Amino acid sequence: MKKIIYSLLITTLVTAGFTSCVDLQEDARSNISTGNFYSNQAEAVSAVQSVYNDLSHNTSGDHASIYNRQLVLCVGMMTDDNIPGPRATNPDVRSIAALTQTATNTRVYELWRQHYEAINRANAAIDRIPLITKGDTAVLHQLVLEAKFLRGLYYYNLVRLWGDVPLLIHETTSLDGLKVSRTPKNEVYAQIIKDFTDATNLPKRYTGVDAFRATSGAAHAFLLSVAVTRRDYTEAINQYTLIQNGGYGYKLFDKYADNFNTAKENTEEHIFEAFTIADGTSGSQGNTNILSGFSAPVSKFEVGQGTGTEADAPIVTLRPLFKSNDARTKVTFNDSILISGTTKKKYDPHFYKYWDSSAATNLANNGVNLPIIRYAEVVLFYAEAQNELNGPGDPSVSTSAYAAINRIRNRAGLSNLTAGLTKDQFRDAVFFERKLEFVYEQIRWFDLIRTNGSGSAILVPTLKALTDPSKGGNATNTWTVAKATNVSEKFLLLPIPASEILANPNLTQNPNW
Amino acid sequence: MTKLLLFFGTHKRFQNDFARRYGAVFLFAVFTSLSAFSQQIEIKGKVLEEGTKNSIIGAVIKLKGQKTGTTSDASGNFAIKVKTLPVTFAISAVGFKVQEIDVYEPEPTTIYLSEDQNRLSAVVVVGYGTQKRSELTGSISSIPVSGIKDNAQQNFVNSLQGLASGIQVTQTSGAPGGSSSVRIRGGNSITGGNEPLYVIDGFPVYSTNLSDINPNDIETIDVLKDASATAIYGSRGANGVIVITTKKGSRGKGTVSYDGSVGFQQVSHKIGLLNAKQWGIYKNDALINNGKSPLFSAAQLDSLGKNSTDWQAAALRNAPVRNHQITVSGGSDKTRYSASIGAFLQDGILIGSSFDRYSGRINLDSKVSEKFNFGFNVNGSYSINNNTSSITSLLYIPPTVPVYDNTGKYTFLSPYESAIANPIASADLSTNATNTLRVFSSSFGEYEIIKGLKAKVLLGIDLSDYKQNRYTPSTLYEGSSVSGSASINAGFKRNILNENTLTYTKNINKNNFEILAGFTQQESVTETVGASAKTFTNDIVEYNDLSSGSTLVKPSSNYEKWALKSYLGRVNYNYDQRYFFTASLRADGSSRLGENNRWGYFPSGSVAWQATNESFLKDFSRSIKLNNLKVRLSAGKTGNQEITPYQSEALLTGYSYPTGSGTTTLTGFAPSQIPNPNLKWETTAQYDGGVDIGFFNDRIKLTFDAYYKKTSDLLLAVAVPVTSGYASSVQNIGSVENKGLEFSLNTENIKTKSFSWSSDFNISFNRNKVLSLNDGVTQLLVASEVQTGNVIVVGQPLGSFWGYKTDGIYRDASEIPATPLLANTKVGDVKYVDLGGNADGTPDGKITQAGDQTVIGNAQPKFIFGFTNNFSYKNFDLSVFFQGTYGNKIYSYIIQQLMVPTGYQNVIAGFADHYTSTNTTAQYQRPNELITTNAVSDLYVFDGSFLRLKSLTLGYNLPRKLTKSLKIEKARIYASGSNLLTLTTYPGFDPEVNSYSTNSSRQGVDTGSYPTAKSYNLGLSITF
Repeated sequence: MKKIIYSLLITTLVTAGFTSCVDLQEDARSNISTGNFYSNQAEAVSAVQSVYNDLSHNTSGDHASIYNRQLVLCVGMMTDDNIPGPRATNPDVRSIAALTQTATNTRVYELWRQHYEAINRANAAIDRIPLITKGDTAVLHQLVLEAKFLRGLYYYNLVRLWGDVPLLIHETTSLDGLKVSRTPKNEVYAQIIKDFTDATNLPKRYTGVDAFRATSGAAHAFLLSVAVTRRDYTEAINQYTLIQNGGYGYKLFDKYADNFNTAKENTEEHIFEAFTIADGTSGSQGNTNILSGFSAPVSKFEVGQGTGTEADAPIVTLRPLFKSNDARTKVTFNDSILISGTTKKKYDPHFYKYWDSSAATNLANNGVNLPIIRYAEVVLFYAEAQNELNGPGDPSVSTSAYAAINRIRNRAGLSNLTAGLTKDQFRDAVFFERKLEFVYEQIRWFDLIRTNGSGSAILVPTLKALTDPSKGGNATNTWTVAKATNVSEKFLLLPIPASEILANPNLTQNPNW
Repeated sequence: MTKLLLFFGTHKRFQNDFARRYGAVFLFAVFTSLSAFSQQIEIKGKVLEEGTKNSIIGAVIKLKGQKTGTTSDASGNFAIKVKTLPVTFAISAVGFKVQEIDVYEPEPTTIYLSEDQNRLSAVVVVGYGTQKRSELTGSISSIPVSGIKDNAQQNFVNSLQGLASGIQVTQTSGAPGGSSSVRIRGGNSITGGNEPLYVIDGFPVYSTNLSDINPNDIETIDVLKDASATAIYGSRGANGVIVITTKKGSRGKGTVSYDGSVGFQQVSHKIGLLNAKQWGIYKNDALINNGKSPLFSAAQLDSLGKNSTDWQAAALRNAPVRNHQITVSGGSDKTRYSASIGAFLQDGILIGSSFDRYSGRINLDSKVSEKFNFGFNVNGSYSINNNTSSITSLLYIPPTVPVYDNTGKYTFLSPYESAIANPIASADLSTNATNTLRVFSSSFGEYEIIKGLKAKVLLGIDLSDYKQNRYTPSTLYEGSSVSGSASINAGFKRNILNENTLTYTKNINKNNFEILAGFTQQESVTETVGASAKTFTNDIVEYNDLSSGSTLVKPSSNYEKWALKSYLGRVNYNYDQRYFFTASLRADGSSRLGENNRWGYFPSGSVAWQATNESFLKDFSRSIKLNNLKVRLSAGKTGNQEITPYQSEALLTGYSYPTGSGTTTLTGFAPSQIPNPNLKWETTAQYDGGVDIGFFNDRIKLTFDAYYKKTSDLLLAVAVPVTSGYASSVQNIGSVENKGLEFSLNTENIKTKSFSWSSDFNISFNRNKVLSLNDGVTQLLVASEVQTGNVIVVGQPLGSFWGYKTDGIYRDASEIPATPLLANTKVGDVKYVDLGGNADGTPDGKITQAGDQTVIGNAQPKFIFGFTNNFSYKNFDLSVFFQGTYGNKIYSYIIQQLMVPTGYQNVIAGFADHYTSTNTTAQYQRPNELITTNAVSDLYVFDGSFLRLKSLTLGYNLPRKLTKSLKIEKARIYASGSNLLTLTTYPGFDPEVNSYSTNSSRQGVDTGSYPTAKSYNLGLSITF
């Protein structure tokens, strides 16, 4: 009996001894959890940094992020600027370019997803940073305003692309209540204006490592953009005046090419950019600008210019719109390539804006920032608003719409715009100037779909004109034909992703999708 | 009638005849009286293996009806004293049939035992113990280990295929060191793991890579299939359990044995592609169709005919495989030992690939005292695996490109539009080698507290350590733009197990009990690091000095831990070997699940009835020669927790963004998943009914099982509205069912003194169906999986393919709809079928993603089967093993790629017959530079059925006379071949393919896996 007791005792002891060494608590020491974060200023800085991350990085494994090619793929390809190059093999991209996509298109889903991911990160920062007690209150407040600026920007894209969209202004913390409904467009705009207005309390300009941060000037520039988009031209003039008189020091670069010069980042014309650096990282979480590589031909055609993929290409009708004396031409396109040290070969024009001369041998290693709004657009917005309110005006009067558009033309080496245009003609001229100025900068699609001073959007007539030789169109090219044939009013709004409606039946689809 | 005679005519056990001939016929008359005056009669004898005449060590000789007994020594000799004659001896040995003989006189006698292939009386390793097969209530298959030994496979899992019913094994890759995916009774889970749990000498391992285990060290493999058998592993039993026991020493004289084989492998099937001339014509047509001028003149086309590069031939080789092992084993009454060292050296059939493994093992168990015994088992292996990754490019690169250029150097790149690097150069010059050290040990102490009550403490540890070295030199296209790139990844994993069990066995009259109770805990920690660098001055240091690269890439490191605690209990009861009951309950706590639901409870119960042990049936069964009839029923629940850790937690992940400095970034942190504290166990309820039947003393043996499994609360990465900021979240949603039938038949067709023939046949039918997903969702299309056609559809099996249906090619412009799938569709392009699109489901005259995609096939087979025939004639033995699947489909992504009609790369041989204006009856579409990717369609869905001669082995046991003169115990030589013949219509490398083995929504996809080899081996095994 003693033996039994001893044995049981030993067994119990051994068992008990081992029991204590295994713990079922999760030990996620490679990860930070929400429980031990958002407690000090450094963590607040970090929380906001993740909101910027979505501008040019992507977590899904898909290489394209919002300003680093996703907008090109999802909407740029639909414009009268872009087509898929020979190596854009993704059928989803090719169907977008031919305007035959459906609500199941993966690009549409990705663009939608990435915006809401960024908004949730912004909401987390906006909800949690005010609770932090350790740190400089002013800095913490400023970080919240930056997050609001970014949230405003992301919602501004969403509302323009999809119309009524669910408006979420708090972080998701549980699986409950995820089936939200669409919020009327005007309510979304109200929140956007509120966020940008709050953000006008940000500093005017940053230098050094902080140069990437949102500023009050950027907030005003977007309030101007929102006003023009909503045809509130009085407010547009008001915002323009605030920018002009606010001591921001914005001006046009003397040379158009400086907009894409890594040495001139965050100076003069730049108001807000997605930052990239040439640190050799690629892939979805890489820090490089990937547009250059995707638009350039493959290396074997081009000595000393690294490897491109030739996936984003200009449509056949785009390049002929540029006059030979337009300084923007050589920055925007490269028509020929080096096939040996000095021999040049003619080649189909390809986009050249983001070619990084400082990393010439490796196109994949490109640190040119991606402009989101630059001063040239502010000037052209002014021209547009002024025209709608007061007509084109007198070119010799510095506050006239004419004077504004001519500043852009003259910088490009072009003569003044033909005088004596009507309001409608002038409006068209502004849109045309914007097209030339902002090729491959993710602005054209928003111009095509917004209702302008004429009371309608230019999308349908513009794409239909692609096959009209009298308007510079090409009646035989596969892509011009596809775009002109398939365009319709339904494209003014993107489809809500089909999978999103499956996951959330409270969402209704946009018309005709 | 002849057939019947052949089959049934020799059913009498010849050993009995043999014994009687000696015991009864010759000697009965003479020695009958002897018993009268002998109080202690010593009877000597020898126990030999039938056929080989090898001595059997450790056979137990018992006097029937008495407690006296003895065992045979190293030479098979025994001596036993009896009081009276005649007596009946029962002689038994593990792995042999029990033999009874009547002894009438005290003369030396020789007893021949025949191998017990049915192993009915053999013990089966069940969870936390062993059971006699005859007492089982659950569904358990034992794999004949002899079948896997002769094939020189580095991974025993690859050899399990077809050897038992209900187990589907698919080789993931034919690469040396490659693994297989195993499905026992179908796949239950969608996101969670579907691989069975492996229990190696009591140590549960969840891993698909078991190539560190030397197959020659394996003694037994038992596969636990139904809930009754697996529920004791409750937490992780849902996918079935494979129990492996390594070899132990046996009592008697020590033996030294050598097992070795040499052989070579060659590709079993190449993919038919265009040759240079055919490709040149095709390329010209692609250019012409795109409005360009042809590239090759007629004269050039002719010269292409003479200079075609067969890239597959250039990359494939006859590759040697060598295997050597020395085993020392033996033991005394108290202590048994077995130790081995082995080397397995395999070159891959693709240049640049190989797998070498060096392994050692010690297995020791000892009875320290009457009450206490312990066992110790350690297994170590070191392997070096060289990978090659250029399989797809050697298919894509056009045959007009030479391997070497004019200067004798490797051609750098395909000169055509697709930048395809020279795959031979890549395989030759780049490095991708993984070195793995694994030490696996389990030891136990067992103490008998009182008679029948044993306490056992087991400690196990599994350590593995790997380092992967990669280097791509600047001389290769892949490394040229970055001037060489090097990376290293290393990891250390420790997995610790402790099991504490109490077992009580008691027999009261005809009531036999066994009660098990226990507590176990297991913890696993994996730490990994990775670093890489680019831009090297030259290609000398490679990955050995990353700091010499001038572009350093961000390093990475990771820590991952999970833990499991379990309480378990089981009662086995049988009454008079007629009625059997088993009940078990296990409670498991897993760290991986939500903190509100970490614990899961998994009960099971089963009953069996051994009808042939009923006295009222004895006469009847004897009359129809039925010796075994057992009916089994079981029901139970098992669990699955195989998701990566931390899925229920509120975690943040780092997302950096550049600063304004132009060179640096600042790391941001943001929440990366929605916390789900309610995440719980995925649960499978399983019901099984089975019958085991044996006729003619088990010469004919049938096992039949029917089962139904329903898995609910699937651990599914459910798409959540992305407005939440997240794309998906792991939740318990949805259910999947599997139901099936399994049938196995083992027969000893002929059994004579010199010739025997036995057959094993098994066939399994499984039907899988997705019953539900999250609310309102009827299909799941994962964006990244769309390109390989994978979809999950409610009401359809897992592994369904989704895409367009096709109907040849457009041969007339009138056939082309107003809105075809692809802009610019012309005559000669693929004709996609208009299935719907209108709101009422009728065809809308347009070919669209939304309207016209449908289920175009499924990867689940209708049935799988295996058929083995073993013959022995005198000293020769021959084993022929066929195996196959029927009715499964393969989505061949590689063939899809090899049908891209751009003319930028090579295509399948059929494209020689492509559509042109002069060849309008062609089978294949016109070359078209605009179609740079093919839409997913039924064109790339192929029948995956196959019948394969999986192995063929011819062996010869050296005659006793010869071995004796050579002073060796026994020796066997054999020749074997595997995958010698495969009947299939699949055009890829091999129909046995599953490129995404761990992902059950991507079954049956072939992305261009490493081709399967057929191999030929010569082997020798000698025991001294």
